[in-house]
Amino acid sequence: MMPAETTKTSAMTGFVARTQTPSEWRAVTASILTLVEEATFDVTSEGITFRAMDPSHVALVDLFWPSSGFEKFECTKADKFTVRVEDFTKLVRRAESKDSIEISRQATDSLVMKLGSRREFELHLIESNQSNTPLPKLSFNSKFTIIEPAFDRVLNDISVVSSHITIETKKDTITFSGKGDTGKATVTLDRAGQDIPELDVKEESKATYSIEYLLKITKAAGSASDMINFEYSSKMPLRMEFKLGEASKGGRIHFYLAPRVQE
Amino acid sequence: MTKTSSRLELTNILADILKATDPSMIPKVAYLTQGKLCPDFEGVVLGMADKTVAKALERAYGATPAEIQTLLRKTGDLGDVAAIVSRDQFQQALVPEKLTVEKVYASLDAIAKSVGGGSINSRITGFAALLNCASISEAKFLTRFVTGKLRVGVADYTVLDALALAFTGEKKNRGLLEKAYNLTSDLGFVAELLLTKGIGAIAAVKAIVGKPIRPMLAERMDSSESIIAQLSSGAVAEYKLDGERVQAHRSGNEVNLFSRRLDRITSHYQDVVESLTQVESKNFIVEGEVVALDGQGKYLPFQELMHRRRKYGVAEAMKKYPTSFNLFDILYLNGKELIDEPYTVRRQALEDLVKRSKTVDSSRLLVVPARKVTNSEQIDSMLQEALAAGCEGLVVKDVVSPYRAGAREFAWIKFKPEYRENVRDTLDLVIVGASHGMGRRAGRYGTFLLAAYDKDADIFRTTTKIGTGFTDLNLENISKTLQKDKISEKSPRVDARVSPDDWFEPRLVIEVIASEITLSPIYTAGLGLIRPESGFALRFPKFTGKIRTDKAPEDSTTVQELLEMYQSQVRQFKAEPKAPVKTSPLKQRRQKV
Repeated sequence: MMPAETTKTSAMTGFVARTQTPSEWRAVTASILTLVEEATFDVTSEGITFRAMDPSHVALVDLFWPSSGFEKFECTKADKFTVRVEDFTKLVRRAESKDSIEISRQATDSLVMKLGSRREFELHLIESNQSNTPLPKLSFNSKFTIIEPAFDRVLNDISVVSSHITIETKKDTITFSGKGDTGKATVTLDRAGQDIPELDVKEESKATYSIEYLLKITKAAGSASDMINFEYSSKMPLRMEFKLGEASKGGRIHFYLAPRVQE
Repeated sequence: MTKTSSRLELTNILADILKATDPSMIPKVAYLTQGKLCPDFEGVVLGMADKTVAKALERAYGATPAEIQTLLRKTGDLGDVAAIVSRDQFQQALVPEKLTVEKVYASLDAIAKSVGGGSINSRITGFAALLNCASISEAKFLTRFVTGKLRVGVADYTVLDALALAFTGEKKNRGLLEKAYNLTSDLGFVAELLLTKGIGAIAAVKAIVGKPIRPMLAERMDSSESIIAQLSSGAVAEYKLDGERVQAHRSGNEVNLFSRRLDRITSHYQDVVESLTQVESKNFIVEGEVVALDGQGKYLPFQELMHRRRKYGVAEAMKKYPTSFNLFDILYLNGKELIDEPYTVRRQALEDLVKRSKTVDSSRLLVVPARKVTNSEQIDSMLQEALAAGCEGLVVKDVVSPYRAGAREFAWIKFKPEYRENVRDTLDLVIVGASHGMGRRAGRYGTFLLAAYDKDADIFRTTTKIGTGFTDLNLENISKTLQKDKISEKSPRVDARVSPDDWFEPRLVIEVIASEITLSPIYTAGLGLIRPESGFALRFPKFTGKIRTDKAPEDSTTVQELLEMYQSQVRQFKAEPKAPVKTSPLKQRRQKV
């Protein structure tokens, strides 16, 4: 649609970024793959960021991966690179669980990926045609932390009867429910239980979301994170936060999802 | 706008829209009101297949293919389906985006230009992304737009009215705009010129090689005596060939051909392009009739030529049906616009152009035979001559008249043998509706509702039902063609008092003959003109076998022409009460076919 803008770098630019294990890249690529086919990553001396919305504008992934989240990180000049997510993911999948992953780019149209110390791939970059994705401006009235397996179980329970899930927070409880042709499903979790380490309700909230999106992102991003931070307000978009590697290092994936509004 | 059929009201609404539009977007708005992205002659066609659009609806709204098929069967219109699934959609968007003309135009343009491998998918994604920002009614109209079924009922001339009203404050400037439009056939170009350079630049517009000039059209007359009387300053009669009228533009080594409807048809007649490339002069605009030849160099009827209008297999068709290009006018030559020159000057320039080009095969590029006529006997004998040579009739031209782009006037007069008897001329009418057949025709359409064009109101008004003269093959082809134009309710551009099983966009023009024009309360063409609450109807209408794909619906027989035919028929009845029906040479020919 827009004239494609090539992302070539001059001879002086380049970056190297290494992680100790493939788990972070697996979570990142799997998350992005749920939304878009092509991805443009921004690389600066601060770290790597990425943001994109799915074509139907229902969901958004916002990656923030600071340099402190890498074992080794060097960037001489801000750069961006665009890949076909599927191809990039295939490379990441070639890594074994103990392999380090090092990506680098030195003034070429390709990205070099080293798995461990002996295996090296070169991936041709593509032209970027992405425009800037704005973040939705939101304020959240309810906030809770849920352990990943618990949320996964809730989604699978509700999906038995419905393709969407209603989430309702009260002062001390969270109710997940769904209703369909075959019947109803309700799961109630409360503050005292171990599934919800944190629950903060400024205002009681109730909203409905598509299970399909939630299942995909939980499966993709949840692999790198035990906990999910969940924020939303009545009939408003939600934001889920998945930590990337150790929480103290500050890497995270934000996932935004627009609600379904009936009536 | 779909609701009003008052042209005045439409003009006012449109003028208000134009005034509120960002000036840089106005040319685009002008095209969009026509259901187009650019002028026809640029050949950018959106035409998304229903299947592709259905896929985009699935993607945008999360509807299942089965849901969409069920809705489509129920409503018969993808636009309505889009509105329903859009209304029933509960999924919100993260950052609701409003549609702007700019965004709509850019997205549609990208869709139209996306061709080749993987293009279907990018068309689906592109259209789905547009639908995601669309309101319910926007979804409906966008869907109709991309499937080529959007007709809000704005004629090109109405847009000119609105431009005049909105930006010059006066509707009377419309005449200048119309002239500029007739010379360039490009609404967006005219709009842009008006906004950037003003009405003075509009008045100075000249013909541009590469932009087709709207053709000058001929009126019809019944007798050689009245033609002679009409053309008092001198007349020349030309053969009227039964082919396709083509306007050819050459600029350097580039040749482009445009149809009567101003579509670019360069690829259909590569042999014509070749002939024109060999002409000595390098910059010109000429007009002529392309006629198919049989192996022995004889003219074949129009139907045979239509084999050449195809997308694929043009090369084989070219060998099987070679053509000759028979010129009858020249509008521009080497930097000089000729349209304001009198006929005789243009004709001389045309003859010189061909004479100087000795390298061209003289059976492939010629000038239409023409002769000065000073009395009716000369016209009658030349008509016989023309018919014997396989022509349709004559066009008799006023020797002092300039070329009046886009006008139908008595400076050019058609004279065909049918006029000379009760059966009169053939009529070109638009199919606006159809009802299912019975018996052998079960499962297909059996009768069609036809309409004439009311030029003043830009509306199609019904005048007959027809079920005679069709072969099984005709019926099948017409039914198939009409499927694309099927709409769920009567088009706002159609005026009818009867309800056929199915309605269509007024698009397909067919040729019919009839024994007489009568009055009937069920038809709306010319309603009240002769008798209150009655319009013109056809007695014994019969399809001639010609589907006039070369004619736009606006080129069909007008209500005014029906009125003239009715009146002259009444006069004739008064003059010779029981006139025996004479058999004309043309009728004999038709019976043989």
